[in-house]
Amino acid sequence: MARRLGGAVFVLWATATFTFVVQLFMPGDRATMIINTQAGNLQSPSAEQLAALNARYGFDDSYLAQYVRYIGDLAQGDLGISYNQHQPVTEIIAAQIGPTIVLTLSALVLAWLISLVVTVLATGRDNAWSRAATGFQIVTAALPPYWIGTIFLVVLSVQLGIFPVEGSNTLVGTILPAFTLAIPLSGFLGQITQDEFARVLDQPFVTSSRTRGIGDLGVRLKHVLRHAVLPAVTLSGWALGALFSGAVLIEVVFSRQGIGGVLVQATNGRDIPLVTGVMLASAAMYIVANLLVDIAYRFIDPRLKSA
Amino acid sequence: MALAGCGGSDGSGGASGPKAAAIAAKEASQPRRGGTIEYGHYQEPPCLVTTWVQTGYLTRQYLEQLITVDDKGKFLPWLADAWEISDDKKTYTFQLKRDVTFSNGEPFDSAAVKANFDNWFSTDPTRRNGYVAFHVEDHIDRIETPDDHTVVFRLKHPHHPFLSALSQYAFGFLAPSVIKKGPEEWCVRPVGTGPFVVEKWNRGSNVVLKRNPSYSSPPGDVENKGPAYVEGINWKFLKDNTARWGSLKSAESDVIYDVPGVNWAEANQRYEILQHVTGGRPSQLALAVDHEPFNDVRVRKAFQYASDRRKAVETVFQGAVPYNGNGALSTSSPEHVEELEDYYGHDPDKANQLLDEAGWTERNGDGTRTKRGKPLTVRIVYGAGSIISGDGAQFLQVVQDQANQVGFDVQLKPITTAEFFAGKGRQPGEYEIQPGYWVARSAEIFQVVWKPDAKVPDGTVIPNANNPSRFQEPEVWKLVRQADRTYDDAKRTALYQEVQRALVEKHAVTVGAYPLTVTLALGDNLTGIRLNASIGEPIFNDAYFVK
Amino acid sequence: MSTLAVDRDEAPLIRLAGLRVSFGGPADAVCDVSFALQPGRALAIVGESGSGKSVTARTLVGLTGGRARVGVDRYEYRGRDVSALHDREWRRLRGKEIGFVTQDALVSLDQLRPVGKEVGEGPRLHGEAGSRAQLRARVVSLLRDVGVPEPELKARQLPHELSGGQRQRALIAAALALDPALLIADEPTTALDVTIQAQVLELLEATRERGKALIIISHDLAVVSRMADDVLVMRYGEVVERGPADAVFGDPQHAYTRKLLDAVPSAHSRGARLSPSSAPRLATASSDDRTHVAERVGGFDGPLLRATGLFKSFRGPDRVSRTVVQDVSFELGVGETLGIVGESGSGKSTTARLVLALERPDAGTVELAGKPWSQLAERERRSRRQDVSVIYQDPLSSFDPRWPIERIVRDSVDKSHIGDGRARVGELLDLVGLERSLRHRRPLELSGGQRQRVAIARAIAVDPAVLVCDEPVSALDVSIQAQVLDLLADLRDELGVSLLFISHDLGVVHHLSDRVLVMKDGIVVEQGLADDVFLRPQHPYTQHLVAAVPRLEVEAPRVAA
Repeated sequence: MARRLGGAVFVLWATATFTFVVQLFMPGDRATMIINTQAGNLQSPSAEQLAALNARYGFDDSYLAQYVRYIGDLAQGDLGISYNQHQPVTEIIAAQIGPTIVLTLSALVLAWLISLVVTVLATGRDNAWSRAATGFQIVTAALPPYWIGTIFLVVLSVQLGIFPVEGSNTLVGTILPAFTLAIPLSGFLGQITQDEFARVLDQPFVTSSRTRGIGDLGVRLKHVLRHAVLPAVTLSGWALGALFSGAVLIEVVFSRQGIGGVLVQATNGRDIPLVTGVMLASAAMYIVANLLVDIAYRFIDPRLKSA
Repeated sequence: MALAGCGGSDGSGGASGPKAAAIAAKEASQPRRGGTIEYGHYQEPPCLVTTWVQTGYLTRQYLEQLITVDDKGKFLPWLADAWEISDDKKTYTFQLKRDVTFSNGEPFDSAAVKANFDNWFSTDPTRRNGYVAFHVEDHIDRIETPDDHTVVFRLKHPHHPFLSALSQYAFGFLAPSVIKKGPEEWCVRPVGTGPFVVEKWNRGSNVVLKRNPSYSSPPGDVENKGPAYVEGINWKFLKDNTARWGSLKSAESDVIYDVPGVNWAEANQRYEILQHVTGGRPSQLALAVDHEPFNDVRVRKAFQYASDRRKAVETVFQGAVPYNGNGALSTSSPEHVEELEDYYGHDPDKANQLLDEAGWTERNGDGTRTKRGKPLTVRIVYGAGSIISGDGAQFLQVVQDQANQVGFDVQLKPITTAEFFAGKGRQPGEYEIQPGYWVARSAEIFQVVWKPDAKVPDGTVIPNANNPSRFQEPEVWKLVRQADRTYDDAKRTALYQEVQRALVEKHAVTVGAYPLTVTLALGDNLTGIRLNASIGEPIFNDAYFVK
Repeated sequence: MSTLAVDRDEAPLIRLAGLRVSFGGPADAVCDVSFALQPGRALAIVGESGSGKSVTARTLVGLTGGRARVGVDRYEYRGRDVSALHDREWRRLRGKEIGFVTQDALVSLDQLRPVGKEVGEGPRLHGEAGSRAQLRARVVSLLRDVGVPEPELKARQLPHELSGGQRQRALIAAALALDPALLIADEPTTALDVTIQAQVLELLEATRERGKALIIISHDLAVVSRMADDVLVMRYGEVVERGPADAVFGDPQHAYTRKLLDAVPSAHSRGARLSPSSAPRLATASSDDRTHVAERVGGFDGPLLRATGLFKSFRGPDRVSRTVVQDVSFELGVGETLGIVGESGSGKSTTARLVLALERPDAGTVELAGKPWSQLAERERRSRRQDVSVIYQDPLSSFDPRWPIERIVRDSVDKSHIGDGRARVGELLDLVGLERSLRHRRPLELSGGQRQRVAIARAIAVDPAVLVCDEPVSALDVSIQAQVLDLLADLRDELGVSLLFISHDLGVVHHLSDRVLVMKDGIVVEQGLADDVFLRPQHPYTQHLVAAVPRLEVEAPRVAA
């Protein structure tokens, strides 16, 4: 546990340091940049203006002093004030991360459901449905989410009016974005799970269970599935990270609240405190995701408990 | 000028049944109270009070100015009832409306006006209002408040565009208590005197605006003298074009901003369209005159002749945006010189001839002209996605193709918003062309754009960043200053037109493209919306639902 | 069509006639198999890999598998025609009427579920589970009945927490859970140590004695000879011989049956060839540049290999240190075979690794031809590495599957710097009795016996003085095993190679070894001449081991019941 906590702190520290170093190497003068962004136009700031801003944000100090202050503030949970939004970064992120978490988690759950249903029903059966399912997974794994989202929006929302166009953060409004993110991931997870499923289906213990009178669906659900999901479960921590970055695009398509919009604005506006905040939040999510994967793995594979 | 309902009445395409019927019903209706307008806007600002145009549309709903302007260029009272200009044109005295309060109960008075100006001119960059500063800071000597309802501006010199400037969106007043609290407060909870009050900003989604029930300060061009008819506006940020258009089609929005080009024809057929061509500097290509090849006016003219810009605009925008061939001033500005629109028609022969004359006679293996072994390379550096939209980038590609045919080597250099504002690729010598626009009402923009570089006492030069062409002919600047100080309308207009001719005909430093255009598409139920003559901010005071 | 045991009074429980199974290949996997079986009787189906015995067994419960085409003239269970049952109907029979112990016991339990769940699966599937507590009690009693110690605990544990024998018992308990009238056991003792094997056989015996019918599938003639009333011998999908066990083993009629019986190594076969004279054999004629080991070590008359007081311990994942080899000493002379026997975990493989200098002993030394060996730094040892070579149970895992045979052997030939590369590969293949035409095949395209020959060719390419053989024949069918054992004996006898021969199979060790080392828990409990150790064991553990070995009971045929 202590080691895991140490690892988490290390990841957060590395992320923070990386962000700090990157912003030092971004082009242009930071103070000028802030003034320009705030004005929404290109300015010719006077020396006084720049001096005032440099003093305010401490840009005059040595990089080491800036770094120490920055890490010190972070350690106290102070992510600073957004340059452009003029609000505490923690508040901005706290207000926006909820819908993103809801979206990514529902997408992950959906992706799993789709891939499991397809896998359980189709794997190892030599029929057209099985071949179609495999084809489905190969095709969906390659689809870009942005494209799926736009098609969904045009067909299901605009043309057919089944779903709201504006994916406000309601349950119904979450369905299309969640499917949009889930479909390519389901293809990816499904391919892995199907391979493993087919392999496990031939294992002696499966035959053994059949000799006790279990039905085909029963053996698939009770025995094979648990083994077959393990590789894809391992990848789910990574998948959550991928979903998180996918959410950035999809939130715009479906006009959803979320961290994606914040990140776009923050990056465009070179809003360093906010970019740092979003990066740290992503890193934290990544850590939590991997923790969840570990827990899920132990739950599915009890051998790890006794080891 | 607002081209209201251009789809229906001007007969563009057979206006079909539902649209015509809806417009007829709207015209026959009487104002009713109630309802909340679902408005699908485009960009979300980082803060609810900034000088960015996109914020201007929003601040119009809760912040108000001293005066406004109508589409004939007439200044009308707003928070100021009346004003007076002294004979020497250096003193502007405004009488403020009485009994106006901010929505938090604070009185609106002369101290509030003074507090706002002081805030705008602050050296603290988080408070400073660059837009206001560009337009009036050079001209104001001091601001006096002899009593609660009188504000006196003492100018250093006569400046005719002063009123025009004050009628701009960036001059809206915040309650002094909010100013005191700083941007942390006004960015999310701005308080003004306007017809609507910011109730809640769901960042990333919408701003909930509620009717100001005690509203009493409408501008002179608004019919409804009291609180707005509707209960509020749900101001939604729908950044994705498909979603925004779909939102209108599925009636999830009553009105949307900026119909995407691909849907323009359908929108025109089906919906009532409001369109406003914004004044000031249109989207144009500024040619850098401080180095080769555009330090030679013949090369600049050759570039103008080289491409069929009118056709390019029509092709790319499919009618949603008009052409603006006079790069000096927007077609909607009252001083705009019409004949400059096609001064440089598409004429490759002339372009070739000019380039030959300028000595770019050799060609290299790629067919690019060269001079003393140097290729005729032209870099267009532009802020992709921010200053230049996707459609705008397409326009640049067309220009690139056509210019290359006469021997230019045009290179497109898109840069990100962050880099753009950090000044990447925009230092003198790093580009030959920079596209850009500057929103204003009219020719008052000249003194912002063409102001020569400032020399501070210690000898350093602060370049005027608003002048990417680096063109600083003293005779042109003299004309601008002369015009700004001329109060005779005819004479002043003539001077401004002379400036345009100098910029376009004589010096050819700006290549016109298209003006910034505000477009609103309305559903069948909603009427009474107007676009302001200044920058096309939507005005909802008079808006109501037909049924 | 003669059917077994039809002369008995009792009606057969199961009657099969004319079974044919095809997987779409050119030949049928099973062709025309028929038998009948009464309650309380045991039928053995014996044969080598690919004989169709397991396919026959699975077909008996309708689980032939994917693309198989099954045809049968007649298949009755308790007089009912079951030749055309739907899967749903089969499911009612499986587990309830016919219990099935699948092969590969070590991996036939779901690794992710507690053992008790697997044992209780049958009752649950057939709606006889009762309450949760009842089922739990039943599972515990089933495990107890099959002799699993601490059944309450084991029921909650996962398969990997059980020993191999416990897993096999649990699997049998699962098959017996619903007290089926027929139990089919497919290779129930393979991969088990002899003592465990004996216990499992007793368990099956007891089941039969309770009046159950038993079908036992095995490649191990000794196992079958002890258990079966009747025997079917299968080869290439066909039954080549059938009859009462004593008749088949005592007086085999078919040449194949005789060959199988001859191939079984035992005390009696010592010094004789196991495989028929037609089998490929060591071809010494071509190896003219090869010298007898004795000449190479000329002048040195001590033991070629001497291990003195070897100790080795490892730290487990629980960070507890376990001593796996304790004070092991032995000598191996030129041209001698030293057998090491012991059950899993006895330390015999670790001893092999110490001899190979793949592990460094914690204490003690290994000397080679009187010179230090285990104490050397690897750099100093490298030039003498070729003197000690090795073959393993599973050669496949030590081959690069993409390489053709020629390259695999050539790789070793090049290291040895003996002779011309290509020609020598041919010689080596000749030597181990592999056709030269196989040199372009890849390992996966060879049979198990062929692969082991390649491994031997590779091992002797470097002209070793000592060949360490770690379970070299455990995965092979009996006739192939016979050929490999013959080959090893030839190498020893004609080239003077010393063999360190490790196996859990006492018969194999007895057949080949001059002297034997018996190990248990890392300790040598007994060592001596092979006949002394196996025929007159002194240590109780050795006695226990020897007693547990199922013997081919040919000399004293059972009295037919």
